Amino acid sequence: MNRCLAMLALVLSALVWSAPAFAAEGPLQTGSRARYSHRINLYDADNTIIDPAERPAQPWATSTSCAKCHSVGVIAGGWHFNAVDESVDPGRPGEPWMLVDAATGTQVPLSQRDWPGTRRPEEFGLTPWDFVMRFGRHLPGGGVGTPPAEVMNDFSTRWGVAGPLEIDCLLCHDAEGRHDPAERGRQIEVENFRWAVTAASPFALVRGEASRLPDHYDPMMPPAGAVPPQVLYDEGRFDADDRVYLDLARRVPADRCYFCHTTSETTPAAAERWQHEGDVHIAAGMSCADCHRHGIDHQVVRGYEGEPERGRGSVVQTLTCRGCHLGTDEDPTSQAVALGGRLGAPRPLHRGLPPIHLEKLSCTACHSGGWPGEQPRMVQTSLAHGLGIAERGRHEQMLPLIQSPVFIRDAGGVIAPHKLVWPAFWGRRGEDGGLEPLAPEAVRRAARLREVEAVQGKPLELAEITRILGVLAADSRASGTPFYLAGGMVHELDEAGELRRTAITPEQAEFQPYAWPLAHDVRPAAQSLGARGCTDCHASDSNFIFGQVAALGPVAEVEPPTVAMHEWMGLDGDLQQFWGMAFIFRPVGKLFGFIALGLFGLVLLAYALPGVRRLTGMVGGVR
Amino acid sequence: MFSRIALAAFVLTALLIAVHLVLTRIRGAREDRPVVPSGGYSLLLYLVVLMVGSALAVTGFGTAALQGQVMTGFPLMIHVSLGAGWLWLLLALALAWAEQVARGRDPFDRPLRLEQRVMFWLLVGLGPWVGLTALAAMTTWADTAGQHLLYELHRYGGLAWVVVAACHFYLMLVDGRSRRLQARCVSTDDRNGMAAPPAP
Repeated sequence: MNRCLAMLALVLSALVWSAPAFAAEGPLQTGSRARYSHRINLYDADNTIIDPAERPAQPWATSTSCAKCHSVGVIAGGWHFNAVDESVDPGRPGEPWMLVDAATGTQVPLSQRDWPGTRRPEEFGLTPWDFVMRFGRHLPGGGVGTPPAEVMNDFSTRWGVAGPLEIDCLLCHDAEGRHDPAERGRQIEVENFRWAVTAASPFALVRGEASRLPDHYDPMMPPAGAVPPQVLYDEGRFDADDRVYLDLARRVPADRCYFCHTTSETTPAAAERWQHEGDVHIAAGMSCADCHRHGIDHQVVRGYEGEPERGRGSVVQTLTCRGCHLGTDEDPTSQAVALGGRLGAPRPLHRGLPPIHLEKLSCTACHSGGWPGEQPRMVQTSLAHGLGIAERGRHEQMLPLIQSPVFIRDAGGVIAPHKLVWPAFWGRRGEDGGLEPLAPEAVRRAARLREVEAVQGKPLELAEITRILGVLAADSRASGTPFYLAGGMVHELDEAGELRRTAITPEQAEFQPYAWPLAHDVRPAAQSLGARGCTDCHASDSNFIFGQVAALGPVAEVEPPTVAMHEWMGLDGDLQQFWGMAFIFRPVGKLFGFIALGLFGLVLLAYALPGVRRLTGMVGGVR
Repeated sequence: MFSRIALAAFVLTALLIAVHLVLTRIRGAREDRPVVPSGGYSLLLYLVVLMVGSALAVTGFGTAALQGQVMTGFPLMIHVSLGAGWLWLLLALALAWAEQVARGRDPFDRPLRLEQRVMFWLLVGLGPWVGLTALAAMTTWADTAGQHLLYELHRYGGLAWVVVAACHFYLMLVDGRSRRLQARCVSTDDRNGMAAPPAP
């Protein structure tokens, strides 16, 4: 009995003592709307406080330093980091990564997300390591950059030497403007994954390259002569308690987003940067994060209509163009929010615009991207062209060749402006029709091509394509007919060994161009399509409808086939010609219409007024 | 801007000349014709208005009723093109028939019943309603809500016009048939030696 009582007392006392411990669990939070002053200690990957004076100093880690207050594990499931999670709804197609190889004329949209038209990295032999090495410059970390422990500990890979590419919180949240994403990119190039966050920080330097370390390098037992990257902290930035001040913002400055999300027009006639204001929202003082919001889960609102809620509720629909400016019929958490007008968004009147335009066109069709020209403009983006990394020899013909705006009717039947790229790659076609894409390195090896700077931007000659196809066909170890897809044409050798070029057909889904909707830069209302009247679009020479989209690819000597814009929209070209011509006579038609109405009015008045007189006579008793 | 004004001026001038020419010829022929307008021409005009109105109804309501969607493409183009002609044809009909109907007579100078007169004035009165709601939508007067309102007014006005036109046409047919029957009865009575009863 006494033993039982003693046990009970022990359990009760344990519960009493553990209660405050439970209450104290969870991240530190202020609960205030005021920005928290991040004067904090930094921790290394082993959760040891960073002493800036220590030699050798360890790189600091976001997975430990930030985790004191923020649920890093939850954040790691956010949109920017979850591409490799196949359970995540991919949503509408977005900007892919671009596998580019100028020597072999390769430009392929890649994505781990299931976006139709993109190809998986592994199809081109890209392992997660290759992927990070190629695209790490603009990867925010996490996801593919942090493979499972068994991969990290596998000495047959370089992961153990380079370390994980952690999520770099400062990449987005640095409000000081001294975080250096380009330096982070350089560190990744030399396999300094573990040191990348530290090197990009405004208070540390990293010397040395992990790429120089042998595959079997073990930091606990370093081989003789192997020197790992060294960290030098700026001790002046740390206080006496080894705390450092980080100027971090929840509302991410637009400038941070632009490192990965810049689009730059490269058409020779393009206006220089100083000649345009950029996005009208940013010019008005807003930030990207004002619309592209998220909670701690970092499920960033992409901001398109019909976006999956992903646990965020229907309030997501109020953060689209239409939801913010016109309100939404959805049932969001707040009825006031459903009315629109977030952040004082003006409600557009759209005077004279038949409402069917609001059903058939996305808001971006009239308000976003470049003004449509005879041909779409050539654009370069951060993800595709590595914008943000200082580089000599940038030119407008750098692969991939991306065109914008191309007006395409999406799956929902709505016409929206897109960026578009025609895939170009080498492969083999089996007798069963199956395709086997070839990695650019394999083609380069087989054809003995050299990846040199000089070939950047120089398209492939037809003779060179013929030669490479011949080399691939002569490889007795491989099966299938080699082909080269570029510029909407399939290049193959016929029985006589001559080059045969065939235009792709709509049935060849795997050869189709990839397009993804664009939303920015948003132009002000005065610069939107239709601001000058209906003939901005409804004219027989309208670029919106009759602009020509060339099937651009890295092939020389041939005029690329073109596809008229109305074909992308699924519109009848003849009808649009008639419709456009009808608008020439429309002002006259309206004039005659109003004349007819005036005459109608006179006729009706002439016969209605005597009737009124008779009526007043009847009421007054006068016959 | 100037080129449009010039184009409008040329077309207007040509039309004025044509109208004047036609009016002169009609006026010259009036001397040996009765004051009552020609029933044949008026009837032809009336039938053309109905035919064009039917085409507008098919393109307007057909796409909505049969396809369940708003009118686009060729149906819309046909609708808009015919709509302008219909408005002028209806105006011509109003000018040709109004005086006679106001006097309670049809273009053949036969007496009209009240419902026929009411239907005629509805037929003419709904024309500008339908035309104005279409034309106003082509201006910058209305915002999106206004455009929606104009669209609804146009649709329902058009529907009302089609209904009225059908009723009017029916009444015209019935009236003509009853007159022919009446005339046949009178002629039969004459043959049987039965005089018509004296008028009260």
